[in-house]
Amino acid sequence: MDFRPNVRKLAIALLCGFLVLLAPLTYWQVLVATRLQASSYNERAKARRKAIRRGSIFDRNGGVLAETQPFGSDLEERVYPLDEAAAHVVGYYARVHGRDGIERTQDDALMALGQYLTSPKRLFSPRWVGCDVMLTLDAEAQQAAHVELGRRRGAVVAVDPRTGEILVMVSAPSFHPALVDEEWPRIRQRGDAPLLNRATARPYRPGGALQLIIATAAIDLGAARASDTFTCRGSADVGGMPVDCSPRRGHGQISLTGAFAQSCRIALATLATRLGPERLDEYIRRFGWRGAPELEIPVRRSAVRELTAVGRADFVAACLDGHGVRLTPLAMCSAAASIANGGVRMQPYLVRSVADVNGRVLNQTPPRRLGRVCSSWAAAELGALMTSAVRRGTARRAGISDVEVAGIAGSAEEPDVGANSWFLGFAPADSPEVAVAVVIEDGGGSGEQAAKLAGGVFEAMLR
Amino acid sequence: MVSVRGSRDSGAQLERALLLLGGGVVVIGFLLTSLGMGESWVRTVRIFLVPGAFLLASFALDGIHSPRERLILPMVALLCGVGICCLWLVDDWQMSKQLLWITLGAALLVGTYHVVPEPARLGRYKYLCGAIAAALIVVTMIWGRAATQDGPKLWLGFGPFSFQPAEAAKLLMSIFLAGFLAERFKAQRVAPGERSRASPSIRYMGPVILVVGLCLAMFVLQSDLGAAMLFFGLFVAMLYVGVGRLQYVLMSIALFLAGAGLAYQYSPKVASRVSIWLDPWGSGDYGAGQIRESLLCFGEGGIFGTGLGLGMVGRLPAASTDLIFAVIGEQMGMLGCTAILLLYAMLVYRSFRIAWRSEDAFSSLLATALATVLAVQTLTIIGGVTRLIPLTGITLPFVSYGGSSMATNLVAVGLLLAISRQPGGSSVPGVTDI
Amino acid sequence: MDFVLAVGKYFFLALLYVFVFLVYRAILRDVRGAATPAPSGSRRAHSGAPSSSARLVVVESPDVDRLPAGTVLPLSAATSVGRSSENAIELPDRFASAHHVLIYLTRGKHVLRDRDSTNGTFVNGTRIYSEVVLSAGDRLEIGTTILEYRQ
Repeated sequence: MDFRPNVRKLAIALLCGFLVLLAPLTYWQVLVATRLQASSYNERAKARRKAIRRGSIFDRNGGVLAETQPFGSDLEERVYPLDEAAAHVVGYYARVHGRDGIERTQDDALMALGQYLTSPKRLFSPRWVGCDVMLTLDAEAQQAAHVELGRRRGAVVAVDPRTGEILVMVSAPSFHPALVDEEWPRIRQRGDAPLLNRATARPYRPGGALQLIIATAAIDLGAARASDTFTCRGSADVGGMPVDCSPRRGHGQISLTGAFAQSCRIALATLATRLGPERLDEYIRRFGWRGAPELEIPVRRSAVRELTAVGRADFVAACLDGHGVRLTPLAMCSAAASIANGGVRMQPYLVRSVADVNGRVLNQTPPRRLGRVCSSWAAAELGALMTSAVRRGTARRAGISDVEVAGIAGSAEEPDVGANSWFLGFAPADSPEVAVAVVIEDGGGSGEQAAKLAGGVFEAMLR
Repeated sequence: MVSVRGSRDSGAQLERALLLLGGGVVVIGFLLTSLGMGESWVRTVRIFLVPGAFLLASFALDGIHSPRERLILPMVALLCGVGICCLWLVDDWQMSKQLLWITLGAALLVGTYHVVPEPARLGRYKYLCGAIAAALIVVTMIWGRAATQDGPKLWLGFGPFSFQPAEAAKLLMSIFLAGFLAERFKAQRVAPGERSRASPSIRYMGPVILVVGLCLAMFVLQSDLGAAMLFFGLFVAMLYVGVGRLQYVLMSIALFLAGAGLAYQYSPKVASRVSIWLDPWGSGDYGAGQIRESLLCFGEGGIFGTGLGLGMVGRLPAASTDLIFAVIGEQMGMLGCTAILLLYAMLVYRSFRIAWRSEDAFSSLLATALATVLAVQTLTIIGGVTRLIPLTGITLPFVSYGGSSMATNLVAVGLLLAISRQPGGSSVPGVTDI
Repeated sequence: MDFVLAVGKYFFLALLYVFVFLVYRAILRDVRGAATPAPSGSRRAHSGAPSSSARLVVVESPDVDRLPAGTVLPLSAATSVGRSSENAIELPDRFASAHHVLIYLTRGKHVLRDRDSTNGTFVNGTRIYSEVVLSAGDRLEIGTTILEYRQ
């Protein structure tokens, strides 16, 4: 009967097994517990969301952009007072199709999820409440811009050049954020991509927007002055490339100011060749058109090819017609804002502050300076150039009474779309408060439509 | 004639005190569950059935007046009660049925205890038991019913009744193995005080290897991997106890791994189980959802648990049977899981203690087998549910829903208590009795 | 309500651990109790006859070569008697069952229990069907062997 010691050893082995089991338990229930609770596979998260009262989203003046309201006896819904006008920025909070826009990127704050999972207060409070998010948007201006844009496709971006706060960001066509779940199939079937935020995620051919670069570089580097004159005879050979101007017979003798205002291609091409691709690339970089932009909602990079890497023909084409250049309206607006701000580029931002349910401010975004695009006197000169473009030039439709507007406008051909009409500028010209960029798809062969819309926006914001 | 009447001695008092305390824990747990679920208090009355049944059993077991094991019954009662609380959250109807199984099982426990006054005599029926076990397994494999489309056929049904023969088979196989080994040991008679010379050689184990191998093959063919693990574990354990040399154990494990490797190559089910085990988050197989949800339950529980009745186990498949420990994990947290683990460990310890304190070879070996089955089953399912090892389909003793499982385990407890019906002190000199 | 549930959760866990602890303590007591030689039976030991010298003496045996009369067979805390070699006392008696009786110690007294033997066990001429407490001088008839219980 000597198997008993074996029994004992067997028992010890099995009991050790129980000890071993403590390891995975500790792992799952202590070490990675929070990760499991937050896992996307975890359906309990949905149930937990229902238990929290989501915070609201406000504009800069306290107007409601998104809030949760009771629906029926025991349900809740998310309502969007501005509806389509601010849909791309504010985003949506749909049961089936998830979240987008500010509703997505500020979700943690709106649900105050971080504190919810750990706070003991959860036991005692009647209902957990998320934090409120205050945006930089101006609801009235946003609405006005949306109405002005109407049934056309395109985008409007308005920024305070002194701080970088985004005052208006409209994209059309738009959608009803409260009806995303119901209208999803219809939305997806539409050919005009209503969910796309054209202001941040749709790079456009900017046409002659590179004129701004050329002018900035020229003035900043001293390669030209406002009073310099050029001879334009309608067509010329610039740097070995044939360039045609419109009108056919040319502008004759034209100053830089005039060339800029009238978009004289020959003058600009001459300047561009004089400056050379390296210098222009440098200014493109300074304007931030090469880097990865940051914003509280998703943005796409603009695509600007290296001018030093292209042949002469492409170089001229890029400078004059924006070939190989694609800019988002936000990038364009930021450029205008940099010039408006004395040559200092500010980081655009949407979220002004986050406050808890008691009104206590938890987070406040300070304006952030990104760099200098040109010297302040160059900026002033450019401002003057742009003012005359509005007074007498291609951007004249942007003018409004009482306030001097500075800006440039034009059109750019895009295959399959047509001729886009665009404008970028700021007002008041002498001490700018608003910088605006407008792009209208298929908006006619000139910048008129865009300029006119911009005028309407300036009107709404500066009165 | 005069017979010794056992008046209430301290062992019985301890047992009943623990049963009352355990009953209190279970009643409070059930109450909390009803509060957590928002159910009415009135239905809480049902829970008294569990401590009640075991308390009655405790009295019924004292008909025969020798000291016996006192700690196992309260622990079993508590585990059954915890199981009931968890089942309520998962499936109200199954909980009611489980109450029935527990009551019947308790009766079976008492019955076994009294019907088998001399457990040693069971050893006479070893070959019969072995044969019935093998027969049951074969019959189930051919005529049995399965729970799901291509799941293993686990049930035999007679009209409205059905049971899982694998459960009975594990008891019968324990008797067979114990009896067989005991007979082999008899060949070496040890005079008191003398140490044995040599252990039985492996050749003696021949028939055992054959029978167990057959059963294993049948389980594996069916992909009833849980039962296969259990039988294999039992076999290796008894092999070690019988032969005492570790190399045979290692050889068996090597064979097992080789077999497992083969299975992985040729059986898509096994391959699927292993891949789910290795990466439950990425795998798209059906089973991956099981282990994912299980782990999520543990994560949700954290250290203290969500509280009874507050777990959200709706998406957990097989929550009442295989994955019930995850339900415990979510509601009672790491602290609760550790407590339950400790209870199982102590249960296993006390069962083994009965084994090495038992005076005759067969009883001792039978107790060893039963303790091993309990331990292996518990370790396998908890290991699987926590992703330490691949998940297999076996029940957590006393807690999982299942009439056959509950009945078999309670009968096993009855056997253990019967074996423990000893006067104090080991009759084998030279072995310290702890 | 949330508060009640939260408190209940911790209370339940605490109670559970109280149970676990009590069982653990009982286990420890058993372990320590076995390390020291236990007084027979329960703590309330009877002041009674010391059991260390209790024994069986062979009065009549069917095989005087293997088990002569007068052989003193010591009794321990649990002594099995029968024909099988597994027993502590092996009787070379065809009429004894393999596992005939068990004599064990409880509360300072030896108790004899018949283990379902075929031919039965007789104490002082009376057949015993379950258990009986032995007193000094009792005559046990097992098969054709007669043993006397002495202290």
